[in-house]
Amino acid sequence: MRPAQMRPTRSLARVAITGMGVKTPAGSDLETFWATLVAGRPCAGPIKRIDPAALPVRFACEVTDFDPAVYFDSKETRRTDRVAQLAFAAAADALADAGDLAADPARCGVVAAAGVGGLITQEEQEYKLFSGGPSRVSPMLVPMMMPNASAALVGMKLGWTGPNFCIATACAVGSHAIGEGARLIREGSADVVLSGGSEACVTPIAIAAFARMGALSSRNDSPELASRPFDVARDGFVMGEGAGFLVLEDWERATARGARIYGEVAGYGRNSDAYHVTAPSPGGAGAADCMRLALADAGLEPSEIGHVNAHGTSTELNDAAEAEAVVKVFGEHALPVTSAKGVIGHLIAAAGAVEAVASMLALRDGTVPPTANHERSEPDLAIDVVAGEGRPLAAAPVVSNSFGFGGHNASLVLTPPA
Amino acid sequence: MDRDQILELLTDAAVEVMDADRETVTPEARFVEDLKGDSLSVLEILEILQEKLDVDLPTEAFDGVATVGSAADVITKIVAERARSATG
Repeated sequence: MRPAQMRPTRSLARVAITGMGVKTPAGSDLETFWATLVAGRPCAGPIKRIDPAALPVRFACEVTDFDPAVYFDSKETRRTDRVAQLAFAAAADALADAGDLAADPARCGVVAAAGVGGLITQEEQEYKLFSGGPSRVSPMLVPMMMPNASAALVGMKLGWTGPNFCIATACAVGSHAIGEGARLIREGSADVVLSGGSEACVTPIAIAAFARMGALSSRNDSPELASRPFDVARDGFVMGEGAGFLVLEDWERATARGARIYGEVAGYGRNSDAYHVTAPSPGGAGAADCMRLALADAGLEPSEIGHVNAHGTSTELNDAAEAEAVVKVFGEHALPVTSAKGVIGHLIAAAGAVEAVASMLALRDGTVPPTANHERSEPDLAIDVVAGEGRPLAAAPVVSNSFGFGGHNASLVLTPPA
Repeated sequence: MDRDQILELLTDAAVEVMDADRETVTPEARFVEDLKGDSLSVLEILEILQEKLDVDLPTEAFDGVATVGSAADVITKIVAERARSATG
């Protein structure tokens, strides 16, 4: 089949990845994060930020080493939700990693993935509304809870006046942010774009709500075993928090300034299942088409892809549908598949961005990290899941997937520098 | 609670919100021009005072209020009115 969105794009500007930054449960700098992923060490544990005693699920993957004071003065800290703080911190790290950009601020953009927005602040303020009345609601609630707060904060702190917006497509959005950021560079709307995502919703309402719909693992007695993508005993995802940002840069510009180039955003596919608000389309049809769109955009055949960085949430439905989709596109047991969520849990809006970072580090070091807790697939999941320990990888393009409630799909083709 | 006590609470809040040196927060100090606040800073200060005093401080009562001292006057009046209505 020829995807409907397919069109030649190679005459447009190429997009280099020249900087990366993360704030994750597995580490708040690239090397700690990567070492934890390669070790396959799960980060899930009892929830610390709030008292989880009354919650049905009492564990998550939290970022435990983040100090806002490193990035913000006290006034900025007070006026921003944790979700925006994590976003800017990851973006600032990515920028520092990219070296001296010497870019025109009007040619620098921000595309930030938004999940549930400033939910920590929103819940605190709703409590004040119900306990003290409307006059007790903070005047800062609106700018702290709005989903575009992360994009706005990054732009304001850096003085970047180019394109600046957020996207909201649930758990697919981290990859959408990178794809849409890359398009800004391809089409000539920007020279540099900080693309990424952030999430901070280890909160009572979010845990209760995701648990009520049966999306969360309920392994309260053994949190470290709870996130087990593509494993036969999986029972839901593990809530995570964190952020990841990448510096995307016009390829010619990046090479001209002698930048260290991690690789290229070579292809981007996005489509919609148009099927069900939470369940993937049967047989992973939408996800398969999405990967094909990304391959076509990159001008690559399935056989040229080295591995898949899966969405792999550890839910019953996602992993089954995604496995079927991978088989549809690449064939049975055709290439290694890994999911970072066994280690870091599901970072919702940040997932796609953090996993793109993991994909680039896999290409850098020639290692596919293992899928933590994956022991055994059902017989009908005909994919080759990397488990136990990492696997050596020849330099080859990677497909990184993100899929979201609402039927949103996004796939990236990320290639080694060449 | 008298005006001096309220002024003390206001000063604490202004120091916290504006990140200001304590000696600059005088009754004559203007929130925006002298203490480098913005349109939201005063609202943040009032939010802190609402919590500490457990009293509603309606934003409209502070229309035209520019200095720490005049804010203390308005808050003192609101606190006194509440005390009167509570005992009457």
